[in-house]
Amino acid sequence: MKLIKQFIEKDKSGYVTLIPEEFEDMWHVYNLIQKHDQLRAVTIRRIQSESSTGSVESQRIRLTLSISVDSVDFDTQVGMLRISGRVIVENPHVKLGTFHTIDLELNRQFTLIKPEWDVIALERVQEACDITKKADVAAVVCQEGLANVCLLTSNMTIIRQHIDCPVPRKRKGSVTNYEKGLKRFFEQIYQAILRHIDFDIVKCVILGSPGFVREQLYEYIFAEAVRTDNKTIMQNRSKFIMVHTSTGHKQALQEVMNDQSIKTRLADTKAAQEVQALDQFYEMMNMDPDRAFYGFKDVSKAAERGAIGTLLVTDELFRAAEVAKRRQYIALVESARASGGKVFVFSSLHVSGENLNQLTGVAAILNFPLPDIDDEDGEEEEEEHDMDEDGLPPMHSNQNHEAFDAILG
Amino acid sequence: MSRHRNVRNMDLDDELDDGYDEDDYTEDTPLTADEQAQMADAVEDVKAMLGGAKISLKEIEDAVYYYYFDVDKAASYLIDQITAAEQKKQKAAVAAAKKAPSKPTQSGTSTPIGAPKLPSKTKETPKATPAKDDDIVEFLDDDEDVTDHQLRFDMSAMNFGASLKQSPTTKPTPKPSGTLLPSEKSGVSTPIGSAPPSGVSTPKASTKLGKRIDVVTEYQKRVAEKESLNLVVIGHVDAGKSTLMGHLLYLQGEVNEKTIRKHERDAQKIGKASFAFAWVLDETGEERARGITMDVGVTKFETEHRRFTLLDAPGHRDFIPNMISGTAQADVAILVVDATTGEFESGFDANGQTKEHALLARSLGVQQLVVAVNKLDVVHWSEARFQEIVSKLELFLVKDASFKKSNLIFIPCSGFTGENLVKRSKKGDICNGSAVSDVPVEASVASVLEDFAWYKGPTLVQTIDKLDAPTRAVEKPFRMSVTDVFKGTGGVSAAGRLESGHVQVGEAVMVMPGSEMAVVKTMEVNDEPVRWAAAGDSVLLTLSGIDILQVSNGSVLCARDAPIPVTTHFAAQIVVFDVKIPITVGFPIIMHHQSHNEPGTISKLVATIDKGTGEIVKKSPRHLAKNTTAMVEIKLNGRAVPLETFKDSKELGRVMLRKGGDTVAAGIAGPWSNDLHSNVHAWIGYKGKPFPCGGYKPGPVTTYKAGDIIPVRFWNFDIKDYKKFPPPKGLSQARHGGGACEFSLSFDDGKTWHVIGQYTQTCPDIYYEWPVQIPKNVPSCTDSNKCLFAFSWTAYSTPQFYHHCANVIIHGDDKNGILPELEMKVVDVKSLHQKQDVHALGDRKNTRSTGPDRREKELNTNGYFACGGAAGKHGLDLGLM
Repeated sequence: MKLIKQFIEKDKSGYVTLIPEEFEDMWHVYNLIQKHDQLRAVTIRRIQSESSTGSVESQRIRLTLSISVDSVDFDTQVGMLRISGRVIVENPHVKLGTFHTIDLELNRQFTLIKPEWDVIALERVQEACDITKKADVAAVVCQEGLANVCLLTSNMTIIRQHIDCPVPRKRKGSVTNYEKGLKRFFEQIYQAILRHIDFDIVKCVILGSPGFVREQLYEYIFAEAVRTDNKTIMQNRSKFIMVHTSTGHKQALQEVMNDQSIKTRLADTKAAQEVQALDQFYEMMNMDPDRAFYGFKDVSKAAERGAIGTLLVTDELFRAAEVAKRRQYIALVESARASGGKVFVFSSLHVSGENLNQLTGVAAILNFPLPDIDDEDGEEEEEEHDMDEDGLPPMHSNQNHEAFDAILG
Repeated sequence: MSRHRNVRNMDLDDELDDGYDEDDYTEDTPLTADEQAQMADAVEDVKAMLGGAKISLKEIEDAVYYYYFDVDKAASYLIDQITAAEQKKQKAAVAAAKKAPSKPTQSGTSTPIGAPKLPSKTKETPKATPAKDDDIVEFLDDDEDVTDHQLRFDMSAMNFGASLKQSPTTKPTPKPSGTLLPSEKSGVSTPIGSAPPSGVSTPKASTKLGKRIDVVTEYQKRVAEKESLNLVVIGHVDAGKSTLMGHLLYLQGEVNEKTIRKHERDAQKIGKASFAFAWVLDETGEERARGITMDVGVTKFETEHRRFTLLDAPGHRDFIPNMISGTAQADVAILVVDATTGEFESGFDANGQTKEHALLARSLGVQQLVVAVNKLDVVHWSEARFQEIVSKLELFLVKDASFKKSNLIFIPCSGFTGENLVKRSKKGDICNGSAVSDVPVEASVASVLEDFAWYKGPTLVQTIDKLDAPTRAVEKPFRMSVTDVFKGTGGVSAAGRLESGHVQVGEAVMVMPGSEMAVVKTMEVNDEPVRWAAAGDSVLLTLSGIDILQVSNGSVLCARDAPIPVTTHFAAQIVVFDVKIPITVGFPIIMHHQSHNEPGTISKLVATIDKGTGEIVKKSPRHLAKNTTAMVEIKLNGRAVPLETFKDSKELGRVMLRKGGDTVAAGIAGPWSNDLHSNVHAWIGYKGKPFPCGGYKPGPVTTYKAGDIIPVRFWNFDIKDYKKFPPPKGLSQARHGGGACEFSLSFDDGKTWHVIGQYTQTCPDIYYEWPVQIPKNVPSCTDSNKCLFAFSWTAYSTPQFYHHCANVIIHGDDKNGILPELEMKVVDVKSLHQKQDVHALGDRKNTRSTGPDRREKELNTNGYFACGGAAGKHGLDLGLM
């Protein structure tokens, strides 16, 4: 991302002008934009005009609009960011207060105006604009019959293709079915690699699997590349690294990140650091449960006493629509920093972030044990229970009508 | 007879028809002239062979045609049938003597014998409103019930390290043949003799009926003859599992000399001469080249009293998923340990697989374990070494893995030389196994005779010949977990083990998840074609009428009238293993169930449980440390898996949780929460059958007492999962807030309906419970085929109508019981062509309703709809609003 202009007042309000340059920047923007922020960008709008004779003419006009953000929608697969809201600056073509949706595009500048630029937001801008922190790695984690082809960047894990191709097992006296199935499976992975991995961008391609699947796959890929005379694959042979993982499910990526040979390959170790920090948290929980806490309540209690050594928090919490909630978490981060603690903001797109999200999204390793926090917790248990019942999933759109019609004949 | 009843009876025939049409089964085509001539000859021959046996010409013709003019086969088949029929007669006579009034109605033509009934299941159906905690206690404390004994036994297996206080009577002993069979069942008059298709001239319907085999009886016969067992071989990598079993197979004559010689030559070529025997089981190029087993090798062999299906599990830690898959199918196990100095120790320490395999085997239900102390020839048959290993292992297996000491047998042997596998070397033997040996043959025999003289016990084969076969759930609904699927000739081939029930050729089965139907076309057990199989058998089925994509590794084939529940989110009791990091909420796991694995997370820690007493120690713990027992909820990220509660099925109720290549916990599924799923089993829109009972799906039968309150909940496919993983074809969800819900009972299979509760404002809505009481004075209804509990929904302004039901059994007032008088509101759907969905009051999109109306709830649960009462006559006003 390119930072064009930044102006922030003493009261923390202000604006930032940015140009997203790559896919990952969209993720940063997604994390920056909050409800009620203002966004100014070039966009296209269909304008309908009625002539004096009553004929309606519609044309698409390119214009700059300012909107007050209502909702943000991010698609990880195509990296599309759609921001909708009400128009707040009048324009010859568009009336004030009408709704408009802006699709943010790569290499097109936009200005974001926030009533309050907090630490997390500013850090996000800084991080996004730091070009030294770039690393694109492709990973294929697989086990017999199952593979995930993913792209890893410092902030994102994107599953490009999930391959589920059952391989028949060996049977007494006949292994042809097995071998055929395995070949079909490898062929699918090979095709996925060709389709999804851009060798100009990725620094390395990790093949991870239990057993010998990765080696067989490696052999297959290059045998196939030689057979079909695929120069790109052959030239990039040195980019392929094999790593042992215990499964072929997405979870295996965490093991990949922890592998020494991969750590050195990743220019930016943010993702790897996150995995490590989470592991440390779990280890601490095992060794001394009074020094590892999770959940906002417990962690903020620990923060009050200045006990936090390492704070783990996911970015999802900062995307909270409620301003008050976001403030709470920012206060937590700031107080942890003030008392000399390290703070890791996990990307919720990574496996480790997902994991932390499941664990209420916030966890802390303490510098000294606080055994009494757990006890206080017990008293509030009842309360939590009530909340659980209310936390039911939101109601969704009515009954699917086709089934309805089918039943009614 | 109502239509849905017809559906139940008709479907089987339809399916069979489909099967036949597709496959062009020969019996439906008339004989050609050639064939007729052949037939005449063949029949004469067969008659000659049979002598004076009483058998009709037609039966002979059928048999001959069935074996396509193979006279010998047909004759031997008929002889079998005659003897079988005689035995059957005797049995029936015995049974009749035992229980004088046999049930003549049971033998009615419309009851397929193959379809399993659920008489045993209903007895342990949970109460209508099971309090979760009480349930657990009961589950662990009930000493009375035999089933619970067994449960507890298995639970103690879960509680590694827990003291085993239970009396030895808890050990499930193989039932003597005959007890499996309720005497009235043997009175069922299916003519066994007419098993082959009864030929060209008979009408189709009777053809099918005649083909049915009384599997339970046949099973009894087979068990009496020779019991079959599934045996898994486990142990650390390179302990010599494959070599040991390969050698054993060779000595038992399952592998011929020529093959072994070939393996020897080939193995020598790549410098792995000592692997020759292992190659019997390790067949893929990869396995042979690397010298390790990667996937479970399956084969069979027989000993004097037992028939074994042998599963050779891989030892390498990366292939533990395969090992779990193999062990899940096994009844008994051989744990192979390497006696070599240093090797035993490395297999036994924290990173070795000896312990993990033993724990997994125990958690997967293996109770009898033979420990083969292998490679003893390398340490010169040292008794001291053998004793050292025995003492170390015994301590671990009894203390940590909860094996019973009496169920552990230690056998010293050598898989490589073959010593003590089948027999001991005697003086004068030239060689004691195979010729592949680096040691000069005579020297090796001499050394064995001298050094191994201390051992006086049985050989390995003698030991496994004495293992007990566990009790098989032949009487339960049919379940088969699929471990392998491939395109076979003429259909989809699915291999796996029958966990419960039985199946026969021609039967329609349901594939879960997916609710797809398929017909069993052919069947193989241990590479031999058979016509039926029962619980415990490893079978290879060819299914017709289904696409290969619908069946996958991990699918469960089940009886069409008792499908297995499918879920992505369930409660389980787990025992945490020796984990490095504690289990917290959100702990990512890979759940292994049978041969399938699926990623997921532990979504909730419900409570920790005391291992000994089963009481709750702490509710909502923050984390689970090693060796704790706890109730948790598990949520799967991906596809739904077919899963049963441990109470219903021991095999299909077990799960293993692994993370990062380590097994973190073993668990048993259930008890389910009190949602509709476990309570009343019916889905809206099943197969799109409009009326009546549009949602009728034959399912588990729930038992109620008169006066019980049924806490109705509407099944909800959580919308997120619903989008990603559409529910089985034709299923949709209850998603209305408005209209009028009525709950009714039918005592005559849907002909008449009696309303027992109404909600007229806000129902149905998935977020609330809608309680209705079964009136206290209804009569009993114990024939689950006739008794239905139904939910119906009528819209106010447009004629819309849903109706779906579930099988129930009601224990009520037998003497003075009367039926409620209010009849169900019905809307004529046939005359309806309106597509528009009209939203009545409370029928709002995207909003939750306010839940059951307080007044209505009171009426529905406080006897307002009692039978015969004045209030019940009129019910609530359902007029337009």
